[in-house]
Amino acid sequence: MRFYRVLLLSAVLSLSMSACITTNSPTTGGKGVSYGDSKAVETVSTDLGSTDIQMTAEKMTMSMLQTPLLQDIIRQRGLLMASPVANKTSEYFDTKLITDTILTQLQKNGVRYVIAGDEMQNQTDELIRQNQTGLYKKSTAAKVGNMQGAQYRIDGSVSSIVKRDASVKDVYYKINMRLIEIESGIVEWSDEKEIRKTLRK
Amino acid sequence: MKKMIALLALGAACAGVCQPIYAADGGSIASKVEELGKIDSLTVTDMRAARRDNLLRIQFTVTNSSPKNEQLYYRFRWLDADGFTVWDEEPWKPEIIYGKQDKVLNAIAPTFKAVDFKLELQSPHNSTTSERTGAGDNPPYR
Amino acid sequence: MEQHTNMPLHPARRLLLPVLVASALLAGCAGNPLRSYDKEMGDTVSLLKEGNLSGALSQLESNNHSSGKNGEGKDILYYFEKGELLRLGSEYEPSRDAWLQADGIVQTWEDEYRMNPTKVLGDVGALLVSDRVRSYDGQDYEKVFLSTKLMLDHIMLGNTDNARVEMKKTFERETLIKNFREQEYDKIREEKEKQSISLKPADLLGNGYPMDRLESPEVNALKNGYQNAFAHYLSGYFFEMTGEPSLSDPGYRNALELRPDSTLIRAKVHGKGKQARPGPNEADVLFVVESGQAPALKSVMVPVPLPINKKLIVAPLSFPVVISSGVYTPTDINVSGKKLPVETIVNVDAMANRQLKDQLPGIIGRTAIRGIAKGGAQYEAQKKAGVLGGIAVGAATVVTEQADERSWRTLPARLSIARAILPVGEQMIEFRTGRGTYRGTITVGGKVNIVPIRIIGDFVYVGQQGAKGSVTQLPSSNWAKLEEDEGIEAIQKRVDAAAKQKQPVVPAQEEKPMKNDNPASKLLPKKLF
Repeated sequence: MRFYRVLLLSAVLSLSMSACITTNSPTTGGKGVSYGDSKAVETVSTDLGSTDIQMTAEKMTMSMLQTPLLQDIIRQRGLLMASPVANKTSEYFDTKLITDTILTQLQKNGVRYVIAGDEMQNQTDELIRQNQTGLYKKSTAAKVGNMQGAQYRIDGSVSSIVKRDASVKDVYYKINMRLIEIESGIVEWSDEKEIRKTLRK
Repeated sequence: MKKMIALLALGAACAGVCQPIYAADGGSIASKVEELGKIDSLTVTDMRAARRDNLLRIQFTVTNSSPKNEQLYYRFRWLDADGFTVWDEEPWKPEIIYGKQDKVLNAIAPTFKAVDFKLELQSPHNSTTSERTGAGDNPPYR
Repeated sequence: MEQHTNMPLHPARRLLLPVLVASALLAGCAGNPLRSYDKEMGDTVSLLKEGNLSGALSQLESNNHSSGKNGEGKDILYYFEKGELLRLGSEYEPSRDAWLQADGIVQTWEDEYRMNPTKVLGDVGALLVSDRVRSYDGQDYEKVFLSTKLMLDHIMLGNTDNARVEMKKTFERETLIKNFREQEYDKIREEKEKQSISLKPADLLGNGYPMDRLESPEVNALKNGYQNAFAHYLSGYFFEMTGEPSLSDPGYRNALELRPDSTLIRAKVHGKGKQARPGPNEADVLFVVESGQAPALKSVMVPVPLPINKKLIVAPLSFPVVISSGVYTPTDINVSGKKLPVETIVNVDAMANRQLKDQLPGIIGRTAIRGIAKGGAQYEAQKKAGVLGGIAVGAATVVTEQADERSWRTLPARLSIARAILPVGEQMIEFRTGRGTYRGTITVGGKVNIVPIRIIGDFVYVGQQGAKGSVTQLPSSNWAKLEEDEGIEAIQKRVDAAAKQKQPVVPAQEEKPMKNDNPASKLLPKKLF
């Protein structure tokens, strides 16, 4: 009887002890910082944020992929480029965040695109360096005059309407994107994403 | 009789292209839906998938049985024939389902490679019977 | 002391002891926050006006010498002023470092607010001692100006990446200040409702206080006391130069919202696409003209009736007044024969007044509560120890009772801009100042072209990207008459005269029975009565 009691006690003890021991996570640093889910719905403020970028890019990619024209472009290995998307809001929001994601997602599906805008500087710098510094072997240096022009470009705009009173701030965003044939100027595809964000005090 | 032929013809046209998953047997929807915990008042009452323009296209209906508005978070996981994921984790998408509403939601696969999918659903009013704290207890929003 | 333990202490007296100890301690140390900042900076600024930058710098250092060796314990104002003085001397790197120190102090405040907003909001540490003992982490507009100036330093050093970082920080800071002030406003309103305060600052301060300065059209035209149109315009310009229209457009748009009257900004927002772009041998140049000096904050003593020991006693309390010195801003700049209009987009005088206007209710509340506490102590002391004790406490009251005079004094009074597409290379520039015409040369070239010009006193400081700037003495002929604010002595005289008229012969110690309709009873917390 007594033996059983001891056994029981030790069993309980070992159980409770095993419940107490936790392993250390492979982390270092202070208390305040942790990693979150990059795909979580962000509702910190009514400004354009990560969720808006992700949802917009996703919708645009889906919508664009569906169009037969884009599938033709993929088959014919046509070239795309992204013009700067106009920011018509009062927020300091870099619209490249949206176009970059769209281009990346399209590329995963076989779309090819050429760089444009402020990235061109690095490209021309490198071409000039390879050709004009005299440091490179002629045969391996990238030739000037072989860059390819795109047949289509992605364009668009971000606009917002902000309304507020003492207790509510309501922001409506509309993100509009278009696929334009550069030579003809014809808009071949367009779609928009609407977002409404409301803050209550 | 004429009607019946028309129906049959429609079915034939769909064969091989559409893969409707009917709500009637319940089981097939359940196999595609992953709820993070038990969602009390929201249910997926209809779901259909088809391949159109080389892309998997999905439409599903969420029904709110309560009279109050419910917040829903959802996202898809895109899979190939062997069950591997073929796309990055999608962002959670917030959606408000009004009281007693049937909301129809659409999605198109972001890649040609997707042939199968799973739908993840979460609601802040999830309940769970398991004592272990799972992801379902913490809504995917900050 | 023992008999006191049995006696219920008068609430004011309970509060008094730490006040006296604190003021005694403060008077002892050399880094005394009760020192007259206005007086100290007056000397530094006049050296700056004389073109004596090194003199101004060493004056600043000697005023702050007592602090720790590596700069620990030096306050934010020291870094504000130091950064500006160094910048004017084209020493952008040390200037940037000084401002980064100041930035660190502001960031500490920001982090504190982010972590624990209620604590920062309830910062009533200075309830009993003068406002100037409150830790000073910069006025709102100074905080925004700081990151704008840091941005300029980075650009002058050719570091566009850091400038970009600083730009983002400026607007995060602006949003944070906005949230803070909104919360503070809500809190004040809440408190007001609790204490049924219905008095306006104008009623309490009487006719003498220059309330018109706080109500001028320039002050009322501002949306708030901290948003800086130039900060937004600068990011508009900067991102236009770096080819990022999605960031440049909001810059111009926000600037226009703050300065709807500006034709230069309007052209950028509404005339998009119609504007000329610089050709291959041209550059888009932004002239940043800073003129004059930021206004001083001075104390004016206003007699205010306070409920002390259930009696109404009129006690002199000290409140801050913004005093601007005159400023002359050129109307145009002549660049190699081309006349460019100069447009003022930031008026620091108005911003300082706006800031004071927004904070005056809080200042009045704090000052009055302090006055009541001290008055109560004085009353008790006089009753107990006779005349001698009364004098001692009275002296402490006078010493601690000074308004907060701290502010960034080397900031300009006005910030104006001019802009043009100019050919690359040396350009002659010429403009009129209050003290004759300035002539000099600048070098145009590069991607981001900013020419900072500072006109102060008899001197013009012109900066140059990647090179030493110039300090030029003006000919000092045909001085323009500058419109200055009425001095503090005149204001004090007016306040005294108004007080005499309103409350004939009520010396500080005279007791007057309280009436319920007394303005002070409406203003102050009921529990003090």
